[in-house]
Amino acid sequence: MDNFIKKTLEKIKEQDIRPDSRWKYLAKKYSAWLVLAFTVLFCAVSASAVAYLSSQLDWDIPFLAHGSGPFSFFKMMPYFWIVLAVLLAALAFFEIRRTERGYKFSRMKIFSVLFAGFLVFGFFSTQMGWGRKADQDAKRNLPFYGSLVTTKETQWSQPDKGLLGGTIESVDGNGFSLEDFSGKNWSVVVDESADIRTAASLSEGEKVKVIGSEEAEDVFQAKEVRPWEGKGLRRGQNGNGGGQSGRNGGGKF
Amino acid sequence: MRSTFWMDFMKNQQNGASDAELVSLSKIDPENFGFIMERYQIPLFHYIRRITQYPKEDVEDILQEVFIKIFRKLNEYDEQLKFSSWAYRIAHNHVIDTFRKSNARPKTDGFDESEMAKLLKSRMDEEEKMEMKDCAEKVKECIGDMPLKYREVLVLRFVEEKSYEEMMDILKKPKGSVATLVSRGREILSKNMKRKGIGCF
Repeated sequence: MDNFIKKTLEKIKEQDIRPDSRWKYLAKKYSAWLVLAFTVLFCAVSASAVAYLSSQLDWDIPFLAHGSGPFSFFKMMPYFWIVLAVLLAALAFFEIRRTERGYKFSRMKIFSVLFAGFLVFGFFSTQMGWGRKADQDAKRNLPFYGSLVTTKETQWSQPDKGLLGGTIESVDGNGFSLEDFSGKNWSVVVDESADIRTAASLSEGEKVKVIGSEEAEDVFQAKEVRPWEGKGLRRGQNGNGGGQSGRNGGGKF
Repeated sequence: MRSTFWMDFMKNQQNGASDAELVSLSKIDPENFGFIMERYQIPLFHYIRRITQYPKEDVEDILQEVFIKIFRKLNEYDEQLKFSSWAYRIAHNHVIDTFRKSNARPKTDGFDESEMAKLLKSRMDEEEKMEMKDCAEKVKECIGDMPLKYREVLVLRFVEEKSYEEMMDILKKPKGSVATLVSRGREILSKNMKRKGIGCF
């Protein structure tokens, strides 16, 4: 075997084999950690998008928009982002396992570290409004996104199910004219029995949500009018103080 | 005369050096890598032979490639890891690559009788060695039939007598996975032996 050592050393010298440089190894090592950091960050952004979409939806009306079954609530969940967040979390787990010492960590330890990472990045991402931005970017760039995710717009674009949302074009004595998210104009009839939430502002250019029924192709009978943000139970909930108030919401329409 | 004395002196110095020191010296002068090879050529040779079950010449070729790989990766060596575990890991990865490239099936002449006894003791601690020679051939076949990942953990645990910590470092797997592989490997070996009617151990 002495001969073996001699032959191997000769081969090393003849072929001028040298140890790979340390920076190459370090670059590989740190790029793996960088990829991991980005994975955790994207996962946190996905989680922020889940939080953002959930905060935007009106969870008190799933029976109206999604049927009355026990699963109607679950139909509104933003699965696209939930699945993406879970996949990214799994990817981050395996990336940690693939690091130099990743195999030494227990699953519990890895999950704890990841959870802490998600909390930090998630808080940061929410503060920066990245969840909302991710949702908007997905809406613009992913053609299938609308069919996968119940957004606030899709939730309030179901006149056949009694949910209509959009911007008020003009106001008249019987109600107002509203342009929905597809650009269609509706004549919304608001009679005395309609509940106009305290914070709803029925003035030109305001975005509102209307619960009611589709009476004709472009006529919608309102039972309840809410501001675009929130349920509108408190004055100023939508940030503009309510403006004109409805009959049942206090003030004359 | 002086030169010989000097070389002997250096050799003694290097032989007393730690693995980490030899790694540092090898980066400066490849000649020093010879001392590392001297330390690990026999254990690595046997390890590769046991898991590949290749003939001696083929094992030597693989071993040379492994040492060259170790030399290339010297800057990657992390002193917190045992050098032997790191070297075994490189050998393990190289053998897997070799199998993948050649799509080879292992042969069944990689174990001598004492090694066979160690492996089988893992299955039955109290049983005596009986009719070893006659039975050994059949057992070699059973081991050869096992997938590499199971054969390798049995070799590491019961022939190389590595601890679970060392096995984790060599295989780069968490402790639970290593323990599962060992247990499953023992089960497969036991089943293979039963199926072939081997009752001599």
